[in-house]
Amino acid sequence: MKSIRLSLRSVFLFLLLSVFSLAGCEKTPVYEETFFAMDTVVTFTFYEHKENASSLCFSLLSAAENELTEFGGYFICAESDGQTVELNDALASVVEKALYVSSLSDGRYDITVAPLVSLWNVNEAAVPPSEDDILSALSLVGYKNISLDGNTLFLPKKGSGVDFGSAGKGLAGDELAKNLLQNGISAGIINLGGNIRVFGDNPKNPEGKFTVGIKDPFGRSQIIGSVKVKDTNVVTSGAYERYFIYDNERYHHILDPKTGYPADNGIESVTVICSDGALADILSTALFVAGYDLGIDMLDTLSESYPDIAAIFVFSDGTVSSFNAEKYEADFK
Amino acid sequence: MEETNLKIRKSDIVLTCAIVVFCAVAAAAMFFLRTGGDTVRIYKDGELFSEHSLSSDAVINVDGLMDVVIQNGKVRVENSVCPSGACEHSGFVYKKGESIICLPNRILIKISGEGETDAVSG
Repeated sequence: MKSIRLSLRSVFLFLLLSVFSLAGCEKTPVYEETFFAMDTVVTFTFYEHKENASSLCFSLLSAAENELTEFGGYFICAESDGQTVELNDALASVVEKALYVSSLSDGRYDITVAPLVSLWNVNEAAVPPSEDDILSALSLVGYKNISLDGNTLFLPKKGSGVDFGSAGKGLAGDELAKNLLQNGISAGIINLGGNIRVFGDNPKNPEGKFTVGIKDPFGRSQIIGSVKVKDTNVVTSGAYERYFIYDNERYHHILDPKTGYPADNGIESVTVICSDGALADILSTALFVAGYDLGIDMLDTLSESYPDIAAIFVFSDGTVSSFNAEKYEADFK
Repeated sequence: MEETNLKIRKSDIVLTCAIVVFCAVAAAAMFFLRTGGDTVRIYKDGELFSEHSLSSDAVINVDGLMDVVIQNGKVRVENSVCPSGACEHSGFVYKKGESIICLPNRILIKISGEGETDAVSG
């Protein structure tokens, strides 16, 4: 009987402790601010209350957007032959990184793809452009023809230009994270239309890490897998993001400057993890166009300067390959 | 062994009752205090447009731009005026944290609550 009494008491004690521990893991408050900016939906997530958080986010977002669109949009096009353009520091740093990746990919990624992007205009088009128009746009593409001297960009021909569409959101993520930290927000997530920038310690995770899902490019479910990250960017480029269908064929928005057509190498999406947001953004596009084999060579080279870099390739047949993703506890279903 | 030790004492009954009551209260608290995952929030131009329960079927017309259909605990978009129809192609969403975005209409439909991830890249 003594032992029954003892076990009853221990059950009671156990229940009491369980209830206290449940009370201890009460839900962390989450504050969200959502805006339509940079041609997408931007959501800020924080875990601490801050007065005027909404106006702070809005003003920082506007500042980042103004910096990127100083020349009227997400690209600069030369109005005359041999034009020079004085860039702000942010855009100059983007061009510098983009030129590096352009050369690393042997032109499969090309920062000067702007005339081709304008021609295809995948956001609004319903029909692919003519072969002649593609050839004439391609004649203006070539990263080797442009140069950057300090902040001065040289564009060789009228109509040639640079496209920040593949780098802007990555750059903005880093700037916003830095400015939010300076304004007393210690941790959070900035989601720029699927470009994820996390900063600080996640209060919901004992190691302070954030779990970031990778969208399932086939739309079978919300995510195909996830990674655990801290103070970095997780950027994905996918054929599913923007496209139109013509004659039963899908024409997506990631163009191959070698062919003038949407990249077609069996890749459905590429995710890049890197603490440098502009590089992560540029690279997700570059790896998508370069393909897996060249992509792995590029990652090998880049990881010497950026050891935190990782990438996840999802192929059209549904298989997944990755580079360094085990560092981020990559988990695929 | 002493005879008295084998008898059920009053305190044992009290303790047993206390455990039963405790379990009942804890179960009730967990049931009633559970949060998230059952509210659909519709944002238009970044502002909250309306809020709905995921458990009651409804069709919500958002400013004549689209119909948000809540049916059997799932949400989808119908009759969108946007040219691409990407929001309609999103199909059903129903898990905590999932969302449908319609950029041309500047509408975001989100299921509240914490999902299995903190964010989704893509």
